[in-house]
Amino acid sequence: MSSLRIDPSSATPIWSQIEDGVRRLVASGALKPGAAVPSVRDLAKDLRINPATVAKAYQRLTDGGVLTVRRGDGTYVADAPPAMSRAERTRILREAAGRFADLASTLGVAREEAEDALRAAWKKGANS
Amino acid sequence: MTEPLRVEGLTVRYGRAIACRDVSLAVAPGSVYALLGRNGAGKSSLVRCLLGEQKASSGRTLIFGANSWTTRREAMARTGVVPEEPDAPPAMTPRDLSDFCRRIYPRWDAAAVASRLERFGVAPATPFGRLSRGQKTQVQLALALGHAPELLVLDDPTLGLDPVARRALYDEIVGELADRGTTIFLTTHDLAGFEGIATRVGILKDGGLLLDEEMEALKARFRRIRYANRLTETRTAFGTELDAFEAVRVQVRGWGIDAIVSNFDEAAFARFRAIDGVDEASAEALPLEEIFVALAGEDKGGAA
Amino acid sequence: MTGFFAIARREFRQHRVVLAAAAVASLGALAAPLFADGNHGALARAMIAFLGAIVFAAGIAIGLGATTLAPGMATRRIGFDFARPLSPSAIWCGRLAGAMLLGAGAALVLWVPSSMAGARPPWNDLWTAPEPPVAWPLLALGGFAVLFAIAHCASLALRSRSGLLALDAALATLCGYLVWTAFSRLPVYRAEAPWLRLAVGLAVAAGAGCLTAGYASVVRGRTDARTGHRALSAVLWTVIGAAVLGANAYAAWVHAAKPEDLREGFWVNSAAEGPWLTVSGPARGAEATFVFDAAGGRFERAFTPDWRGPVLSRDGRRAAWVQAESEGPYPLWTWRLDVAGEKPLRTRILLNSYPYLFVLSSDGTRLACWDDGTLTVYDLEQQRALASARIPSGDRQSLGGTFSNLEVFRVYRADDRSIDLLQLDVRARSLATLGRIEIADGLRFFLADAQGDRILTLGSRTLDVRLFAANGAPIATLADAPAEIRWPAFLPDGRIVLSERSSGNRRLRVFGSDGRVGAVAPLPPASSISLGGEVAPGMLCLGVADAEFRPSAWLADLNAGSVRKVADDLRPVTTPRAIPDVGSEATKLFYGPRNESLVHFDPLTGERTVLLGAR
Repeated sequence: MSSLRIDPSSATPIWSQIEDGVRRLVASGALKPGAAVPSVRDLAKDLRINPATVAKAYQRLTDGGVLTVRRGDGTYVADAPPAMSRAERTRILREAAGRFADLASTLGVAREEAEDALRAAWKKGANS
Repeated sequence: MTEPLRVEGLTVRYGRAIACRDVSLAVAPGSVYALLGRNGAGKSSLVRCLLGEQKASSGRTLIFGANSWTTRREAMARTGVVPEEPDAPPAMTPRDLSDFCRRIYPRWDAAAVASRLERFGVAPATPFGRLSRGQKTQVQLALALGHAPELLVLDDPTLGLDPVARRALYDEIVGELADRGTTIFLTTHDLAGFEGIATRVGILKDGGLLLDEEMEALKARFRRIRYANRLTETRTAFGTELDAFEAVRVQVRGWGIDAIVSNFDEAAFARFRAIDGVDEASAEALPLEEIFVALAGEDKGGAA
Repeated sequence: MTGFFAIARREFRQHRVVLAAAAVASLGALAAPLFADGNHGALARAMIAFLGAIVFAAGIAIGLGATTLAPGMATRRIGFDFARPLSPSAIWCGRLAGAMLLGAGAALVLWVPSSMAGARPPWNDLWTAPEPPVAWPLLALGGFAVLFAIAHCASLALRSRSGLLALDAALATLCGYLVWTAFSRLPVYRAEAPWLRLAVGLAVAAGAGCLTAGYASVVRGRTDARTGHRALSAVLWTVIGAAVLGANAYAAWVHAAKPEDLREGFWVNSAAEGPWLTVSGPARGAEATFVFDAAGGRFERAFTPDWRGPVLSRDGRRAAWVQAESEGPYPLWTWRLDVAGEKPLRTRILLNSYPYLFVLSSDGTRLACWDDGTLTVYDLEQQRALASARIPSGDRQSLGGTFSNLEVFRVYRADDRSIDLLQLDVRARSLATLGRIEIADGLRFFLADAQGDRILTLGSRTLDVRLFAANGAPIATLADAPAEIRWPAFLPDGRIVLSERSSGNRRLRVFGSDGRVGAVAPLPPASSISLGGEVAPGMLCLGVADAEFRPSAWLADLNAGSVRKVADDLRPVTTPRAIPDVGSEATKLFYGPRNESLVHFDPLTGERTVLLGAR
């Protein structure tokens, strides 16, 4: 989970950022089912945030079936995490798309050029 | 469970000067309260009253539900204090200090103190007076945590610390929170450092409490709104379009208007965008530091 | 208590280096005899060790007292202890205890090695130290604590940068002034015990005030020097103010002693006539002397410089005394006793000290003083000297005198073999020699009658009693048979009374003023006999002390020649040199049992009233 980054100044609450981040990592396969996730203490230290915040995110993830807690052993990705709901996926995708479009219009770029850039990035991402 | 700290109508006067003006706040158990304020805003006076070192001119401070001034001794058995100015006797070594504290606290974990000092890289046999500023703070933190206090009071703990020492401090604090759920009350200028850790924020300005709010809520309602104003020819002024928002600070720039508002919500912003003449409007969240500067700074760029 | 010990231990360990310095000094003391030889060496060692111990202890008290708390409070670096579960008493007393341990340690390090090498405290050789009521070590610890507290208070007051310092200075000046007024209110002489009580009381109060003020500054000031200073001043001036006011009240109380306050150790002189007398004794801690009206209870206190009190005129109408208000020439005070409501008067006459001779005329209008070789006669109404003469007196000579009449004062200068009879004529301002009496066998005692017309002498070897005229011409030998004890006295009318014990025969003999033999009365066995006055013509009071010195009062019927006991435990007040007139009130004054009261007792009727003292 070294790629999990949170932005304290973001409009989204930190626990939400953690939750979303973990879900994304699980959905993308970066976190395999059954893999260990850092303890609340360690993640809080790494991210320099209140452990209660991490605990809240972990609780929601556990409630949502993404993570499981094994007594005395730690926290792990669930064996069968729910796939991200369609609506959730669409929301996140639309949000990111909206940011991309705003950026393009600020640069004064036409739709075709923006689409080209998108296609190139997609190719690159798929190959990685 | 009783609130570890509570301030009720605190006023502190030094002769004719007023350091704190009718300040009231409460710190919930297990929370991290960050008290912010410019230099001279009255933070130190408040902390001294909280710790029972100074008597309030009027109002009172309660620690573990009892008056700080009268129950200081009992309260200090459950509290760890890291002061702004290192004040341990300069001739004593960290080992001597741990030994001294062992005798006066009912519980003292000398091994934990020793391991913390080792982690910080402080030699236990160096006289306190000869340690660097950062090391002194680290020693005082180690001593403050040695009796597993329920409450930790830190007065500008990162002052004068190098980045490594600062990081170590954050680690210790987060560790304490995770292990023991200690309540923490701190004053600081290192807003970026504690932004993720603090759960509640208070801002002192000229002795009065300007703001006392949960961090999440505070972040949620502050935004920076940028837009190009096409209502006027010269784009050098703004009119009534921002009236829906409480603008804390508005700056007119060459490319448009830069406004910090304190009561943002999406619906209002959508209506704002729809206003004729408002172009290229964007809203972004603010780091705590920017919110503080906007609130506690000198008032500039007032409304038309 | 754990906090107290932890802090004491910490303070001690922090300043251990002082003990090392003391050890060095101690070696210096031990090595002193190497640099000075013999006795000087031993004395030098003792002085260095002893004074060094005192200097180190005092230095530690002051140094630590001034630096252990006050600077921290002024710069807000004292928070360390206050952010810990330590009580203010642990913080204050712990530091004091730590300092005391250091002080005691340094003193011992300095003194013990030298003491073991034979050094003794210097005062054994130089002067004798007074015995304090409390053991020396305790006193030293108390002194240390007070020094510590004073240093802390002074340091805090100066460092707090508060305007209160000006108020402190003003109050200190005021208290200093009030201390001066308290001491000056005490009688200047014969008030050693009250003076000591005042001094010790004020010192203890000041010390206690400093200690509690220091403690208060820590309790209320905590980390703030200004608040600490305020608390310090409030406590300090309250305690010292109360002590100083109490001191003034005490001094005024001692000053205002009354005859009723006399409890024991009475000493009474009465006038020959009338109810007035002077009474002295301890009252309210000081020696007090009063001029007292035994009948009416009126009195005034006379502050005489020594045990010799006021003199009363024979007619009991006037008193005169030397009043010691301060050092230096004393004013003469007079008092008209016969006028109700009249207050004592301070005259213009100044005397250098209580004169050796201090005699009033029988009506109290003239006073004769002899001091340092000069006799002066004063007119008390006009308050001026009338005449003076030089009458030198050698070491082995004694002087006496009496007013023959208002214009003539007779002086007797005696040594162990002779009496010079002199006379000062006041109007003519001339001194004449009337004559001289020589007693070859040795003169033990002489007495003149009220006007100085007759002189009695008692020989030292043979106890013979002779009677002489004013010019020294012998009139008669009243008794020359060998006797074990013999004592003469003049009665007011010139008759002579003699008590004697010779070859087992105890008797009282009366003679006329010309020496003619008169009545005889037997005396009971006694270790001593004193003569009272004639309660009625021929009824003479006697004071008899038995073999165990228990007094009793007897009445001698001179006409019948018999004596009988009239009271146990009483003895007459009068003295041989001023036997009161027949039937006057003074003849009924008696000392009560154990000298603890003054009693009015009529030997004829047996009526008894206690005037003063134990009832």
